[in-house]
Amino acid sequence: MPLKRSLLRFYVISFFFIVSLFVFIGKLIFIQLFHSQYLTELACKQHNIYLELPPQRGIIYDRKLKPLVVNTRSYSLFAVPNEIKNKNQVANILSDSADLDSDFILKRLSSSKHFAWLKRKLSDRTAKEIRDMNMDGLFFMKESRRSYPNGTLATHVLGFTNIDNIGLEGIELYCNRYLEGKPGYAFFVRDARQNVLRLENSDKLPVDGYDVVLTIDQVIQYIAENALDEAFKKNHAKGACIVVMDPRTGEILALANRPTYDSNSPQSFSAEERRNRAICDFFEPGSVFKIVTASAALEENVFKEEDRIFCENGTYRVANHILHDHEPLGWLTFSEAIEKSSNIGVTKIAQKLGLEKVYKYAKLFGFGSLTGIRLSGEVNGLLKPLSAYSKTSIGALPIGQEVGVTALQLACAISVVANGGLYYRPYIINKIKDKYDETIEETKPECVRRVITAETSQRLSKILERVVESGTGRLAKSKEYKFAGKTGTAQKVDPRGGYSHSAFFASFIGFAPAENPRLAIVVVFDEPHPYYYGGVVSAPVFKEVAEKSLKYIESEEKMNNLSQPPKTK
Amino acid sequence: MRMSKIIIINFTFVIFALLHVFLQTEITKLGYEIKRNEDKFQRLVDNNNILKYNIYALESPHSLDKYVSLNNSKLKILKPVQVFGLYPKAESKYVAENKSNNLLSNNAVLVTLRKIFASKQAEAKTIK
Repeated sequence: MPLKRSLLRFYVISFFFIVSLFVFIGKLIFIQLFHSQYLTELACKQHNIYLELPPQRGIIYDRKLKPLVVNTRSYSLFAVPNEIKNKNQVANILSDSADLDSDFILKRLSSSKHFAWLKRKLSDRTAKEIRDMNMDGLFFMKESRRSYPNGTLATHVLGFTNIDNIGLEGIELYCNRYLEGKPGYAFFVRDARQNVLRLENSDKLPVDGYDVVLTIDQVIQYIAENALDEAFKKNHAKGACIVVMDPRTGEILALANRPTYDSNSPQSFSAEERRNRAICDFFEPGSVFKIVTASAALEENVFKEEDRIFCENGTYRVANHILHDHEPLGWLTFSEAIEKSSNIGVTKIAQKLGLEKVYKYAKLFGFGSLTGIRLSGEVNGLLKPLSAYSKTSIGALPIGQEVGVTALQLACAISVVANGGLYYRPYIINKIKDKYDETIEETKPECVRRVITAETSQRLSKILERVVESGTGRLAKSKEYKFAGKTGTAQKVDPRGGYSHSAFFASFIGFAPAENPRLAIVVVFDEPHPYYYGGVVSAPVFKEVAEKSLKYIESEEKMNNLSQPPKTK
Repeated sequence: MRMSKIIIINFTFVIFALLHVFLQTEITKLGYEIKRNEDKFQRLVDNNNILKYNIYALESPHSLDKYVSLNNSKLKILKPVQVFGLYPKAESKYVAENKSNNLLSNNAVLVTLRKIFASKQAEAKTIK
């Protein structure tokens, strides 16, 4: 009896196990046949991740390969709202340490999403402070940040990027397609603790952005900015800009504007401060435009330097427009009319020459068209079609009215006089290269056309030398070098009609040294006061920049000569 | 005989299986190690970039100019007739022409001691 019972128990248990076994086998078959795909996908989702490998954005160098923009790492703070218990407390703490509005943080933390950015690209100190607090639900993501080690230096040239490192202004925008690079991808495996490890080497590596080498010289840029800044503050101007160019090649050595901004924090500055005035703003140039009329007169052999012109003692009627000189002037030679910047004298030169000729040379000097500098936002100024000019225009265009020019166009024009009559296309991007120093693209000096003959350029240079020696540009005179230039004081157009009597553009264009020009410089001030003459406000800036830059160039050349091994016979 | 064959096959199978598992474990361990080293390398690269950035910022013309002007602040163009002293480095101080404004030159004992023990002394006289 007991045996039967135990046998029965054995059968029952065996039956139970066998049934269980079949159930398990059935389930296994079911999983393998019908659920395998779904489960494999689920596992893959949990374990495998493809991460985007961001490329390094290219570096921007000056002509001596000094970095003007570099990449540094920064940390961005994000939250997983579900993991945060006391949201109010976290919001209060973060509002203090991360300088964020607590309502903004609370709004972000209250969202139903699993991921919420709190602040991108924090400073190292702030990131460390928050990390040390060890709060649940707060995480950091490493990101690359564009850093400008020189602060505000050449900021209008370099521009800036947005939070995702996409160029928004300047070279950062213009060369964005070269600088940005291409992202790569890598396959990673994630364990149960969310640790990421790489088991396979099936990566598509990121392609780093190309580096951009500019024609800007960091030291000349600094000299120019320093001088401009001082004068800008001293003269209480609304704006100012300076362009330093190599007249022999068209390379831009320095370009600066005031007011300015810091590319490290562009959001803290207004659009007005961020505008690159040297290429985006055009203005009536006034007397500096007289170099065009003078060039045309000399080139067309209408006048010689010693030809005499009567300047009507300061008042002269052209059609229904009365012209004035800054002081009553009588008989002057052609040279003296330019030296003393006589509006009447130059108008009389233009009358003999004809407006068509002045217009033709204005076009040849590059006014009214884009220079093609390869910087975003360049405007072509204003030079109306010849038919749009009226009878009074003969008393306006030759003296720099009824025409709009940019500071860069003026730099190109004065370079023509400096280099023997050739118009060189200005350029600021010297080279684009990869990380292995292989050149991808190189800009070579491009002579676009001959504007005037070398002889005319030499004759005009002599006149411009005298402008600095004894004319309106005396404040640009140097004891060490000989400079040549032209001053300009232009009344601004009054929005109510006519010209303003209180708002002026003060400018000076010139080259240095006069006998063998290495630098062409344009200095423009917008509404300086109390002094508003180009010869008073802009000429000293020209002098300072030209003197210091030439000394720097000479010392650099001496250093280079010393570092070169002596030539063996 | 048949039994021993089965045992050998099973044994070989088990050895291969264990080897496979061991290899997989090692691969995973190496994966962690590689990731750790990669992170360390990246940290070093990041720190290097920050240091480089600091060097560039210090080398910028703005910083250099500031540095030079700070260090040259004691320099002064000599007046037509002016006496200046060269003192040992530790106590080197610019002795101004106006003695009433200079504490060092007011102290007669110190001045006398300096006259005797000073390592160098020079006199500059510019004639108009």
